[in-house]
Amino acid sequence: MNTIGQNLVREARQRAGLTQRALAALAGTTQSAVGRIETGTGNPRVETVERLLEAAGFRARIVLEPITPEDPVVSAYKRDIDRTLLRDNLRRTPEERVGALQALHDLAAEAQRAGKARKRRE
Amino acid sequence: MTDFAKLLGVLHDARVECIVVGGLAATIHGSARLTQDVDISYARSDANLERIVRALEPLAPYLRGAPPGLPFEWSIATLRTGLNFTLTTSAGALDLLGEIPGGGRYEDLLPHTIVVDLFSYEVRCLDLPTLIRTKRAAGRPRDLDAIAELEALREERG
Repeated sequence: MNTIGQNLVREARQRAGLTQRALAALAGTTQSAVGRIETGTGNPRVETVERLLEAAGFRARIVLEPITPEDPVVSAYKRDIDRTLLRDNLRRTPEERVGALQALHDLAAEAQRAGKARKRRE
Repeated sequence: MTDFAKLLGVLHDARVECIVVGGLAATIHGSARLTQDVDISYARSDANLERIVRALEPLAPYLRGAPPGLPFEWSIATLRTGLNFTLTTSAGALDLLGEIPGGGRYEDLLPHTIVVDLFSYEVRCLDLPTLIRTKRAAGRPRDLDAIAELEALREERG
């Protein structure tokens, strides 16, 4: 199960460019403790999460957001979403995601050029 | 064709205060949908308008869809008198958004952003919950599928 600590600690560590071991050293704990929190197998105290975030150079701020009621139209669309594509994308870095988009753009432009060249020949 | 790296690069190099929103932000978060342009929310300070004008000048920005030859001066004065600009440039389509529905201006969006590394640049991007909120607020039927996908992404990320 995902925990708030799991997501926050992993994101803070990655944004700070730290390994689990480096973060653990900065926070005065062990790599395995950081690993347990990030994999959701531990149930860390709020103070522990705060210490790890601070070591990575961040502070957590909890705000209240109203829950948006489920839109039945959006829910209907959601049933048709191919989640395998999304899972593939989530395994990529943001740069790889934009790179893939760029590659598709380049391919479309090339196809367009080829189509125009063929028309000119006909 | 849009050269995403080039557009982001010129904005970054000129230190333009901006946030990637719209379809490219969705791609950054993991969307599998194709987007044609770069949408940014930008700060409206005079200093930032000057950075935008200088950064984009070499890319010959022009109003997208406007008939060729229409008088259009790419200047701080032009940016000051407008708010949202849909542009075509030599590096592709770029939308400059002074305000977006459901999100407000650059300063309102700033607390709801993440920074990602793209092509060696640090790019500020709207966070996923706010991206969903702004897409919902836009109320466009064509966004329904995009909202569904973004919500699915949020669920997949846990």
